[in-house]
Parts: sequence; C-alpha cells; structure tokens
Amino acid sequence: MLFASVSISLAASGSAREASSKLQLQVAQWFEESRDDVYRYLLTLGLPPAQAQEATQDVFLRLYVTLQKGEEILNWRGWVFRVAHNHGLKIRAREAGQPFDPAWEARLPDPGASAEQSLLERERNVRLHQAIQGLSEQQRRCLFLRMEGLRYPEIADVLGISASSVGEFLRRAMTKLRKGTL
Amino acid sequence: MSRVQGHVTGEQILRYADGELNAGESRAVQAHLEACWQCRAELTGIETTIADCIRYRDALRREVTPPEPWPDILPLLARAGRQEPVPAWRKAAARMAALFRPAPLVRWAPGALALLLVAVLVYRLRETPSVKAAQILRQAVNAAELRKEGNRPVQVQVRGSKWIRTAAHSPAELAPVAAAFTAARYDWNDPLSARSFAAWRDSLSDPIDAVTSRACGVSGENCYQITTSTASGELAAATLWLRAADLQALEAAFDFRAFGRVELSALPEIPPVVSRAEPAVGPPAAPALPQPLPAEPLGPAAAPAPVTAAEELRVLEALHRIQADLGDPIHVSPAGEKILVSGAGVDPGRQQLVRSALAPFSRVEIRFTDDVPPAGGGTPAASEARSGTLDPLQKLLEQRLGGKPALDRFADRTLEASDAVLARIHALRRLAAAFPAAREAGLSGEDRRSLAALRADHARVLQHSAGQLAQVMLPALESVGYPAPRVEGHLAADWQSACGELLQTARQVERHLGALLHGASDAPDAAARLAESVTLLKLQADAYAGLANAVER
Repeated sequence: MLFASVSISLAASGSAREASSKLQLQVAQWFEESRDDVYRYLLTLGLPPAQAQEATQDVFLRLYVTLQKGEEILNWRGWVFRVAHNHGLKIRAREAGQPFDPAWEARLPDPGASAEQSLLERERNVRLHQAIQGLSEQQRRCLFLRMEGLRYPEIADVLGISASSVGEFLRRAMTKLRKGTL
Repeated sequence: MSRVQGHVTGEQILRYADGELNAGESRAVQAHLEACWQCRAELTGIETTIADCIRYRDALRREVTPPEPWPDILPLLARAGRQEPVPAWRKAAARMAALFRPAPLVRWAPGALALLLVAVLVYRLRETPSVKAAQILRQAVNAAELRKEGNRPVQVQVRGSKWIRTAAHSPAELAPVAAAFTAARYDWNDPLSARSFAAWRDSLSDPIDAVTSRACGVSGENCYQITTSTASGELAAATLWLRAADLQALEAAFDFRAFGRVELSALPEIPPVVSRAEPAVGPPAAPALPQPLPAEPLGPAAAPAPVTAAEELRVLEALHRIQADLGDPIHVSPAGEKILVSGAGVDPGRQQLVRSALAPFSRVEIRFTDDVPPAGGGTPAASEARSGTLDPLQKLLEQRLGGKPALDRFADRTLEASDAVLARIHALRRLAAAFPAAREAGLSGEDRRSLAALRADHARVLQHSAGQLAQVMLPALESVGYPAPRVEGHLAADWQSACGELLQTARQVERHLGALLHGASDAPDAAARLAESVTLLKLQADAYAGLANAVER
C-alpha cells in the first residue's frame, strides 16, 4: 500500500501541470462551442449585453474550477445552462431595475442586408418573434433552452421544475407559436 | 383540441416529436399516428413550428453578438485555477476519477494496487451524499411521525394525464401505476413520503444518491432534492423533494424501467375539521387517516361547524394549481357548512379536472350546469371588430405598423394581453372578496403567507401582461401621433381595495381598445385615452406587484 501511495504521488506531481492544461484546453473548447448560446440565453433573462457577456465568462471559469476540484459533471452543457440561469437571476435580482429588452425584432436580418435571406423568411421570423414575446416567462425559457438542444430533464434541472411541467410549458408554447405564425 | 377522445394528446405528440417518450409509449403513438390523419396533421403542424424555431434561432445566431469580442479564455482559466488552492487529496481523487473515463490518462496508472486505492477514494467521495441522504431521510421520517402525518391525497401525473389519489379512493386508471410500484417494492399506499422512499432505498444493494437543494412546490419553497438511482429492480431512479423548513415531502418523481415516469405532488392538506357524517361510498379506505381530535369535543348531534377562511383558501389554492381561477366561469362561495363550487358551461374535461382537484375536500359541493354563460357584451370580438372598412386613424396605424397582417397581429396581441390582464384582475378580485382585511387578519401566519403567495402569483403575471400591453401599444400609438402622456398613478394601500382601482383602469383600456379597433370615428379621443389608460395600467400593475408581496406579520 505504501508503495502504491508513493507511486501515485510521484505520478501525480509529474502530470499535474499536464492534466491541468488538458482540462483548460477542454473547457476553452466548450467555451468556444457554447459561449454565444449561453450569452443569448442570459439576454433572454433580461441581462444587459455587457453583463451577459461577463456572466458567460464567469460560468465557464466556474465550470473549470469545479472540474479542477475533482467534482464530476456528467453533462457539462446542462450544467453550464443551470449555472448561467441561477447566476443570471442573481444578477437581475441585484440590479433590481427593469429587465433589459434585447429588441431582437430590429436585429432580425433585413432582406436587403443579406442575399440568402428571403423576404418570406424574415416575415416568418418576425411573426415567430412576436409570438414568442406573447409567451409566459417559463414557456419562453423552456423554449429557448429547447432550441439550444437541451432535453426535458435537463431543462427541468436548469429551471428547477419537473420534466412533466417542461412538457406542458412547451406544449402551450408550441400551440401559441402555431397560432401566431399561421 | 389536444384532448380529443381516442386521439393522442398534444403533449404526447410533442414528446414523441422530441424523443421524450419511452420505447413503449413511442411505439403506441407511432402506431396511432399511422392510423390517424388528424393526429398526423397535428404532428406536421408541430414539426413546422419546430422548423420555424430553428430558422429563428439561426437568424439570432448570425445577428446577436456580444458588444466586445470574446477574450482568449485560456489565461483566465489558468488564473482561476491558481486562485483556488485545491487540497492535494482532491486533486489526486480528481485524476483518479479520470481513470474511469475512457481517456488516455490511464497510461500513467501505476498498477493494480493504485487502482484499488482509486476505487476506495472514489467510493469515499460517493459516500458523502449517501450519508447526507440517509440523514435527511431519517430526520424527515421522524418529523412526519411527530406530525402524525397519514397518507395524504396526492396528484399523480403519468403520461400527460393527471389523477388525484386519496387514501379512500384510487381511480381505476391508476391500477397499472399501482402495479409498477408494487413490482418495484415501493409502498403504493403512501407513495409521497420520506418513510416509503427510505424503505425502498434501504432495500437496494447498490443505491447511488445525490442531494441538492432547490425551489419546489407550488410557491417555490426551498427544498432538499434527494435522488437515488439503482442498476437493479423495476425502479431505475426516484427523486423526493422535502421542504427544508419542516422536511415534509412535497413532490416525488419515479423513473420505472418499463413503465416510464410517474410524478407525484402533494395536494393542500385537509384541515382537521368535523365534517357532516356521510354514508360511506364505495369500499372502505385501506389504511384510515389518523384524524386529529377536534379542538372542541362535539357530540354526534352537534351541528357541523361553518367553513373557515382557511378551508376556503385551500380550495382556492387547489383551483389555482389547475388554473381554474382564470377565465373558467367557476365560482367559489361558502354556504354554511359547505363550500359551493359552481360553474356554468365548463368544458367536460375541465369539469373532471376540477372534480379531481377538489376530491380531497369533503365539505366541497360541486355544481356544474351545461348552460353556456352569455358572451360578455360591450367590447366586440377582434374578428368582428375589424371586419368593416378602416377609418383614417386605423389606416394610418396600418401603414405605420407595416400592412394589414401587422395590424391584425397588433389587434390580436393587444386583445390577448388585455384579456390576460383582466383574467388576473378578476382572480384577484375574487380573492379580495373572499378575504377582506378583517378575515385575512384572522388567518394563521402560514395561511396569510399562502394567501400572499397566491395573490403575488397573479400580480406577477398581471405586471408582465400590462408591461407587454404597454410595450406593443404605446409605440404604435406614438407613431400615429398619440404619445404616452405623463400620468400620476394612484393605488390604495391595501391589496383588496387596490384591485378595484386596477379593474377600473383595465376596463377603461378594454373600452378604448375596443373603440380603436372597432373604428375610432365614433370615439374620436379613443387613441389619446387609450395611451393614457395603458400607461396608468402599467404604473398601477407595477405598484400592485409590490403591494401583493407584502405580508403582515
């Protein structure tokens, strides 16, 4: 047993830096893949852009520190959205002002601005956007998280509600969106 | 629409499209879809909306970018790593845990003895939540025993349908659920309890626990969430939510390997009241509810006590859970020793849900009649309102908004928001009528908080809907020459009287909105007054949200 411990400590000290930098590279890659999605989700929570951007970085730094501590994270993307959600709400509560309105409608690309964007597509996007504005807060959050590819149990985990409530919120959201885009 | 007899529900179709059904359910839905045009059309509709959502997301991905370019995160990560010194044993454990992942790091594993040590360390790391889970469960079982808690009525949700199960009555549709619990050796007589959860967990040879805390229950109370999963047996995982304040089980979720997911939630507890002796209906209850003794001993001939404010509050809470206090023509009124819940023209599915939600209340009498209530006069419906030719103001509005479809959408959205505002104000008015200040003051502290949670919930949605109405309406009115005026908001200091003022403003909004959409020529100042009343409504709804949250100690 003594032999084993010594071996481990030697091996550990030898590869500590290597493991650390591997983990950093891994988290950096995840950051690159998902930072824009997390940033947009934070905007939907009502954070102003600069704060949303900073909060996004914080979330990934926290992910790294958590993994470095040896904690196991089975689903990093679900974890990232959950931490982003809680962090975002905390910031919103601290600011106590009106939620920031990202006014996406104005940014949906103009047909003149991009050749591949047809007039019809823009029209559909604007209509969908307006229908999304008519959803309840939970319906909208469920929808945005689903758009980011999260499954029902993951969304439930992010929002702290049951998976069946997620199903119900999404069903209502889809019904409203259909009505709004017909 | 989503619950046509013989068809799959809208939620099932969505879950099917999202791959959220288990294999058996998925096959059943697929078979139905192959046979049923109507449900297939529903699926196509859902898939079209999904495609719309993805196109929309892609547009946002292209267009919505952060204000600054993203920094190189690697130096930040390195710094973050240095800031928190990690204890050596945790570092080792982390690397050891990495051995279990299919990673090339295994190459430095120094032999079988090391692996053994790794297993011990990992086991220890896992042990912590197990100890915590066992500890919390033990305390919760003790707390339930102290409360003399019997098996309470629960709402059972399975495959998109909801049922109420009481100690005395379990709907026949729940027989397969009962069988699944029995097969998993989980006590179906008292499924939502720490005792049954602990008994099942103790019977496992390989329980894996996770303990976290989070908001749960109707009013988002702070709860412990205990999840135990196992590789053996019928039940793959179970999660129990215990309210942190008193360790009472509020919700539970069960993932059965073959049967799928079952969710339970606690229904409002029935207060210990003396109810009128009623002839037993159906078979006697399996295990009797331990009934606390009434405060005053009453002889068999004593008259039943009149219903209390607390009882009425619980009935309102139960209706609020199924959102039957919004829009449905359902009225609650105390009538001596009974609480009368009446409704006219309520859809049969809703009726069943209301009956189910109120089943635990022995003193509730439900009366539904089929008469459809007359449509409210006054504001004409949007479709008929805008069927005629447009007046000059409407033409201008149409032009500013960007065409007829945009004007139609504007009409729909504003009417919808105005409806949502009115639905919430009516719900609040009903609460205010049932609980005037004097009656509210007579409630216990906990009941006062429940009442506050109920009204705060309505006030939050009201604030949101009034905000939306202002957001859509005010820029449009401004574009046609009617900017929002400066208005002074007035609101009574108590939540009950303030409801009346809110209703007055909301009715003004409704009236002017109707006039504007109907053709403002017969009400030339409709647009100006609409801008004023919408601004006032927004101010009042904001102020009301603060008022509704306040609880007198």
